[in-house]
Amino acid sequence: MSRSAHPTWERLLDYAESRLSAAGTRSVRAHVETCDRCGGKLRDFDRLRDDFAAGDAGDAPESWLLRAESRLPIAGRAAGAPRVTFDSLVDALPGMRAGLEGGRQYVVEEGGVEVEVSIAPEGGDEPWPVSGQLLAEDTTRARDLDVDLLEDGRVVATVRATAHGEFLFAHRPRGAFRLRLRGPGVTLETPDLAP
Amino acid sequence: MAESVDTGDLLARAARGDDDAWREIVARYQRLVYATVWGFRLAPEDAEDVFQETFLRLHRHAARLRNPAGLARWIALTARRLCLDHLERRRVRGEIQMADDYIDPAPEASEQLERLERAQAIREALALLSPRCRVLLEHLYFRAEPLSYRDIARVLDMPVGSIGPTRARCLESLLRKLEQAPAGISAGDSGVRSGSRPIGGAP
Repeated sequence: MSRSAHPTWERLLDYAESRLSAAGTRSVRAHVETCDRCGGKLRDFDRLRDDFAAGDAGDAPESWLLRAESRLPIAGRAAGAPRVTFDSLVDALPGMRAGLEGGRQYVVEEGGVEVEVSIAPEGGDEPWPVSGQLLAEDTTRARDLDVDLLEDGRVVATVRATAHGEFLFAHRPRGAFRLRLRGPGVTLETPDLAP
Repeated sequence: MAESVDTGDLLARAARGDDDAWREIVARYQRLVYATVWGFRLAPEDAEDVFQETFLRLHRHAARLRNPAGLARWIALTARRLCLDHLERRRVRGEIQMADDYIDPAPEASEQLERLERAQAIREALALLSPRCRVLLEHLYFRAEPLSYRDIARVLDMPVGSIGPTRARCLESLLRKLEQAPAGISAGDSGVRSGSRPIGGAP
């Protein structure tokens, strides 16, 4: 096959997919080996499939999609006050359901700052029943951050967060409690959280 | 999913709190987030955590995203950072072992990011094709288990002999749409943190 007689795109694809006869395959191969244009088209085609295969893992589980949609805050919801944006009892993530594990996890958000709070299952051997982390865009907000644990409005424990904004309490609250974060970059008090 | 909606319009509507726009965003980008998270081999509950959190972060930042063409990269980067944060938190708690001098392999990360973006661009270009073309190409080239010509003929109710020529036209159309797709993101919206271990909040 001469340079001037390029195989059609359809024939090139048939060649790439091994759908040609032996003679057809030989003919197209001989052309492609000496034709940059047709070789390039085939390489583009291969790359298209390879790229897709390398960057795709199929659809996310349907339950994830439904939860993602249901959790997105929509217009008109109150803004400004601290609010729980994630509660493992409500959102029922595998492994964090109270009925299964006895633990609970919250995410509280206020003004673009988030605090993740985890409460370990009662009766377990977790030395820090309450732990969490400040999740802020600006990680410097975690500097010099003190966290109070309040029960009945009274501070019962205070810890200094790590440079990563993590904090651990050895105290297990008897019931509902709040966390108050105090630092140069953050001041936030959570709503009541319950084990 | 109304795939043909422009990403800029979609983001603008989403930023105004349009529920339908958010549903569309989740539908359009769920595979991108899923593929990103998948690559980290997190435990299923952690993976879902990251999946949910990525969309919540997007919701929080939607009004500030200035470059719709960079949305896919922003989403992939956010999911990626959340995965790394997750691993770091688990490491700090002693739940997993990771070397203290672990450094995020930025070059590999950058390549993976490109692959994720490219796959997303292909998905979005596919969504712009006619339903017949889209289904045909998906079944032929973009599924883990491609269908045979015979099965595709049955699915699309078309003669087996038409599949070859139709496939060629559809593929050409897909490649054209990919060429016309907006270029990637501007440097300002990006920021793979290279050479350091990302800690703390994602975008």
